[in-house]
This record gives sequence, structure tokens and C-alpha cells, in this order.
Amino acid sequence: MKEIDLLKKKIAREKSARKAAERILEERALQLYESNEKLRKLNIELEIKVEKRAKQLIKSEEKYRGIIENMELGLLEVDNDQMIIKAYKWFCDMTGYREDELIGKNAQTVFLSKTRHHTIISQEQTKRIKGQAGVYEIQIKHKQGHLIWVMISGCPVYDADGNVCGSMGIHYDITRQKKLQKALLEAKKVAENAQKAEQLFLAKMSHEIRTPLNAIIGMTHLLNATKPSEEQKDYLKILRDSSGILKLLISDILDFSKIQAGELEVQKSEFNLSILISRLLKAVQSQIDGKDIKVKSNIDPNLKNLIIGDELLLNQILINLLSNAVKFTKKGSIILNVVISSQSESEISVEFQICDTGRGIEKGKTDLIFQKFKQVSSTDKDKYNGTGLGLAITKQLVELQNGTIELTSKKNKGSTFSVFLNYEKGGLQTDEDDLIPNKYLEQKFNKQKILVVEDNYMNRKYILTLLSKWNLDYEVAVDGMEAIAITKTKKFDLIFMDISMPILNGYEATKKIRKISNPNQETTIIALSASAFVTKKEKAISIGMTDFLCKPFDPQSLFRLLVQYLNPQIENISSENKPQSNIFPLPINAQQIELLYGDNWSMAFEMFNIFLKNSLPSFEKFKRLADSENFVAVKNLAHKLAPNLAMVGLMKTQDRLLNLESMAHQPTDKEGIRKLIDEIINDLQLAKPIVEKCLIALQEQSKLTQTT
Amino acid sequence: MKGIVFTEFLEMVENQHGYELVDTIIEESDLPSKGIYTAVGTYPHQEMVQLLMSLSSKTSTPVPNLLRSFGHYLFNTFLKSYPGFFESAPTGFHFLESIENHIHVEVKKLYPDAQLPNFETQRLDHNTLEMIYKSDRHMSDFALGLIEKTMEHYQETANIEVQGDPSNRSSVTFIIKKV
Repeated sequence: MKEIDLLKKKIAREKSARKAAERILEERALQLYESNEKLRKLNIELEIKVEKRAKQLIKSEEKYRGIIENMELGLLEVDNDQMIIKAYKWFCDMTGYREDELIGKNAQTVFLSKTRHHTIISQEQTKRIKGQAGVYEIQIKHKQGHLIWVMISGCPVYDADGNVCGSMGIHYDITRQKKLQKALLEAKKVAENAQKAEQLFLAKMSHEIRTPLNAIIGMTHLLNATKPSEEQKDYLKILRDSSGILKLLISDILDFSKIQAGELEVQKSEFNLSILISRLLKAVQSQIDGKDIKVKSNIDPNLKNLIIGDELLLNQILINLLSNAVKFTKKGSIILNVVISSQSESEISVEFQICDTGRGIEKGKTDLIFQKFKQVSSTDKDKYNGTGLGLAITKQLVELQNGTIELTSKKNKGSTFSVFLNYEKGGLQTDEDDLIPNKYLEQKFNKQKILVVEDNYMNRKYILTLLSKWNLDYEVAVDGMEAIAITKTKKFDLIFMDISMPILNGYEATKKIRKISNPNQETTIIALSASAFVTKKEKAISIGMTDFLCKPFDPQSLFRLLVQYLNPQIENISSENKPQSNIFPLPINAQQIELLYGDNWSMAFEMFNIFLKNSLPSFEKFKRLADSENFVAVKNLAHKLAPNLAMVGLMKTQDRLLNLESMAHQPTDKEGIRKLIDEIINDLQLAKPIVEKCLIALQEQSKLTQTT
Repeated sequence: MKGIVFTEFLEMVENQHGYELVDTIIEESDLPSKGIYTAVGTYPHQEMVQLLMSLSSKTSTPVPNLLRSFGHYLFNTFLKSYPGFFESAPTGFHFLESIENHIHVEVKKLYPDAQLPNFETQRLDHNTLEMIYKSDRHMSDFALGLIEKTMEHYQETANIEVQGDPSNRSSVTFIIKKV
């Protein structure tokens, strides 16, 4: 009974448990169903999303493909062996191929023709395999055979595993740009050639115009010396003025183009500013031409040194400014002030003021005058000759030397140009006489032998006429070959050598003369050239020429050179400052003293002493003899005293005395003789205290020598 | 606690002692479920504790012993129901090592609310496995029974040393040394 109850209980419990289990399972089934439903929905949503995304992707791809295909960029995809995988439309259009003609072909074989470009591609390919991008330019072949320049931007293409499987090249057609580039290069070349041609033209023009101009100017001078009638003198004046203007004009244009071409360089050398100024004033005076203008200069007394800088440039600047002043001043004065604004041990700042009492210019127009081809008044050109380049050149010349130029001006009162330049300081100035006598055309040399090498007949005639006027012997050669032949046979004192000549030019001839053994290996050779280019002068000096004379030249320039090179004693005073020369200041020629006495100071002392005691008083006799017109006695006395002057180195006075001797031989110009005597006396009065000082110095020196 | 533990437990008691004792321990314990268990249900852990206490007093057998033999009993049930887990493990150690990271993971998939003990294993040497039991249910003896049966199933003899603080049975370390 009890067992039955237990069993019933167990069944009851199991029933309840089964129901509970069924309930739980049903719930679980429901949950499963719901979960399944959820999943299904999720799946559908996911599918919709995927589809949407795919559509977006397609759209985006289409967009970018559209952009790429419309961007005139040809895309080409190749594998690592340069086999074409895909060729985009624009690339096909660019190269003339269809895509199916390209796929599977080797890109290099299809498109490249030049080896150079194969190398570039190989280099780029190496970079791609390393994963590097690159941009380069090559020429590729169009299907129809012609070449196209393309700029390629290449980048590596990776496979799913991240390995480089090929590369993509974006090709941009740059054929037009390349053509343009080539055209530009050619244009540049043409422009450069044109510039060279222009320079060449200027050089030619310089020569071609200057050469005949030289003859015109020269002949005008000579004609003027043939006692022309008043009417003829007038014509000659016009001829001289016109050719002078023409010469200035050519010089201006040449200078300006030289400055523009950067061909003008500052050439530094030591020079005496005081001498430069005094020469300038003389030159200006000759330009005044009857106008009532006083020209003078004031030089700062603090200027005691030579200065180091470009003498030629300074000369030109001041000449330009002074000529300008002369041009615009009718009467009054032109003053050149040289003011030392500051100086240190090694440097010196100089202000040059050129003041005139000319017409001046209005306020506000002062800047205008430094511009090229500008003259302040448009009607000026009729009244005042000139290219309008002068002041523009002047300004550039000043600035070339790091200087400044200013103008202060009052209308109808006058103008002052101020030029500020800095120089290095040189040695102390010594007193040098201006070697140029005023009446140079009447001067006589002593039959020295000159060789003139010049192919141009007119120029030759001009020079030879001058040489014979100056009592010089000459020979002529018409080209370099002839010159060499003549120099082998004869010794000359000086040679004038034209640069541009047929057969053999002046440079080559000079080189030969200097090189091969002949009597003229050491002879002074002066270049004659119509070219004003500085480089030509440099070249002339560098190949062994002594100096340079620029055509056209006036007789004075020629004379200056002759004096400089044919009077070695005089020249040597200024060029060689030997230590002893401070015992023998000018006008004593120290070299002459050295030549005579060497180190024998006591002998020099004796001679100086005799000169002061015996010779000097004898000069008093000249005046008396001249007054009594005893010219034979004048001649004899001059002949007797001349060597005595040489004994104390008064060479210049000796020259005058020799001159006096010859003049007194045939005493036609009695007034001239008297004047010359005055000059000699004057010379000696100045020289006497110096000779006396030298005597004392020599006494000291000889004592010193004896004791040591 | 999963219903299967209760149904299997009561079945073991019925098999070993007859349904009368099953009825007695159900009646003596004041169970919210009234002793009606189904394998697919979930019941409070407290009910198992009550049933164990009741069985212990009726059979005069300490609870740990009961739990250990329940372990032995349940192993066979597991072996029958889930042979796949045993086939995939070549040795007893391999099987024990797979409990935490393989079997329990699968159980969780089927019963997301199941509260399972945590096992950490470490091979101390070629023949020794350290297995740390951690559970708030304090049923390490049940685990011991299962481990013993496992080694037996794989025909491997091993000494099992139980280490740990007797007052805190929430963490027990088994050192299983193969002979």
C-alpha cells in the first residue's frame, strides 16, 4: 500500500515535471522562433544595405572613371614585366590604339623607340618594385609613327597580399609645352645672338666711323696751320666743331652701351689728382671759345697724397660735367672745387663740386637730367648739341665706382653738381711740371726715328705730317709684315702701331717684334686703335705694347705721348723715385746725377760747388748780350754753359739752353730769344736754393761715406 | 543550478536507495520547487544543499563523500550524453585542460544563464597537472569525483592531492600526478 502511494507520488511529480518541462520547452521554442524572425529581418536589412552600398560604389567608381577619362590623362596599367593589363580610353585616344590592340603587349616594345628612354623606364621600373612612385618625361610612339612627349606619373600597384604586382602610369601629353620650350630656347638664342651682333656692330661702328673721323679732325688741324683766309678759317671752325660733336656723340653712345653691357670695369692705379685737375682746366679753357667765362679750380690744401682709383673714369666724369657747364653757361664763371670731406690713414673721401653761373634748371626737374636721351627743355636740342646721354653716362660712371652725384640748381642763377667718391690713399704727391708746352705745334724734337705702322692712307698722312712738323724722322709700314721686316734692319726710338691691319694685325706684329731678335725688341710701341673698349687697351698692354692711343686723336695727345717717351730723362723723374731722389728734388734729375756720379758723393759735392760758385753767375751775362744783340756771344755762352747744367741734373734748363744756342745761331726771332733767356733765368732762380740744399746734403752724405 | 544536476542526483539516490529515500529527502526539505525538477529547468542552488544535507543525515554519510560519488555517477551520464568531448581529447590531462576553454564555452552557448565553476590548469611536469577549482558553490568534492572518473576512463592511474584552506572551499587546488 505504501509502495503504491510512493509510486503515485512519483508519477504525480514526474507529471508535474513533464508539464513544467513542456512549458519551458514551449517558451524556448517561442524564443527560438522570435530569434529566427529577428534574424530573418536582420538578414533582409543587411541585404538592402549591401545593395545600397554596392550601388554607391558603382556610382562612385563611375564618377571617378568619368573624371579620369575626361581629364586628358591617359592611364595605363602594366604588370612587373611591362605587359599591358589595362589601357584607359584617353590613353588609347592619345596613342591611337584600341585597348584590345594593347592588352598583353609589352609597353616598352610598343611605345618606345629611343634607347635613352628605355634606360629611363628601367630605372623607374626598379623604383616601382621597391614601392616608390616617380614622375618623368619621355617620348612615346603614336600608332601612326610620330612621337609624342608625355609626362608620366607612375606609381606601384599592389596585389591582395601587399606585393607589388605592376604599376600604373598617368600620361600627360606635353608635346605642345615641349615645342614651346624649344621655341623659347631658340628665341633666347636668337636674342643672345642679336645682342652679340649689336655689340659687334658697335665695335665695328666704332672703328669704321672713328677712322675716317680721325682723318677729318687731323686734317682740319693741319689745314688750320696753312695760313687760311678768314673765310676759310670760319669754314674750318665749323668743320672742327662738327667733327668734334660727332666724335663726342659716338663716344657717348659707345660709353653708354659699354656700361649697359657691364663691360666697363673700374681700373685702379695711383695718380696725381692735382695734375689731373690742371690738365682738365686747360682742356675746358680751350672749349670756352670766346665766351666771357672764367674757369678756375680750388684744390683742398689737405690733399697731399696721390690717390688710387680709376683716373680715366674720373677724367671722363669731370670732363662731362665741365663740358656740360660750358655748354649751358653764357658768361660768368665755372669753378671746380676739390674738397676732402674726410680722410683716414688709408682712405680718402673727395667731393668734386662743379659750379657754374649758367641758366640753371627749375626745381623738380633736377632728377630728369640724369635720365638718358632727356634734355630739360624740348627746344634745347636745337640750341644745345648733344645726345642727351652725357649726364646719364656720368651718373652711371659715378655709381660704377660706388659714388653719388647730386645737383643743386636755381633757374637763371646757376647749377652745382657734386660728385662724392671714395679713394684709397697713395704715396705723397711730388711736384711735377706739366710737360705739355702750349704751342705744341711749333715744338721741335731732335730727329728721333719713328716707325709708323698704319694701313689707312689718310691717318698715315696725318701722323706723318705732324711728325715732320716736330722735326722727327720716320719710316712707314703699311701692315704688320712690313713692320717686322723694317724693324729687323733699323733701330727706332718709337713705333706707332695700328691694331686692325690687313695681312698681319698690330697685336701679332708686336708679339713678333718683342720675340725675335732685332734692334727694336725694347723699343716703345704705341697702339693706335679706333676701338674705345677698355678690354682692347688691356690686351694691347698685355701683349707687350707700351701705351695706347685712341683714334681719333688730336695733335696734342700725340705730342704728349712723344714727349713722354722720347725724353727718357724727363719721364724718369716721375716714374722712378729712387731712394736718393729725396736728396735731389725736382727740377734736378736724380737719375742723371746717379748716372754721372754713382755713389761718389764727394765728387758730386765738388761739381755742385763749382756750379754754384763759377757757372751760375755766368748766366747773368745772357741778358746783357741779348740786349746788345750779340747773338754770336749768346750762342757761344749757351754752348759753353749747357754741359754745366747737366752736371747738376738741370736737364730741362739744359734743353732750353740748347734751344737758345740753336736760335741764336740764326737770330731771326730776337723776341723769342729774349723770352727764352727770361725763362732760363727764371728756371735758375727757382733751382738755386734747391741746388744749395743739395750741396749741403751731399756734404753730409760724403762725410758719412768717409767715416763708414 | 541546472535541472539536470537535480534529476541526475535524485536518480542516483533512487538507484542506490530506492524511491522511498528520494521521497523522504524531498519531503523533509522545504523546497520551493516541491521536488519537481526537469532537466531543462533552472533551480536555486540552495535546494541542492538542502537535499544533500537531508541525504547525509538519512544515510549517515558526510556531504563531501556524497558529492564525490555524485561526481562518479554524473561522469557516466556525461560520457553517454556528450561522447564527442572525450573523443577529441587523447589523454586525461588533455580532457581536463579542455574543460575551461572548450566544454564550458559550449555549455554557455546552450545555457547562457548557467553558473559554471572556473578551472585553471598548468602542467607542472610531464606527469603532473595542477588544476585550481574556483566556485562560490563550494562543490570541489563533486569536481574531485569527476576528475577521478576521468583518469579512470582514460585508463590512467594517478594520485590526486587536494590542497587548500579547509575553511575556504571556494578555491581548491588539485595536484594530479600520473603513476
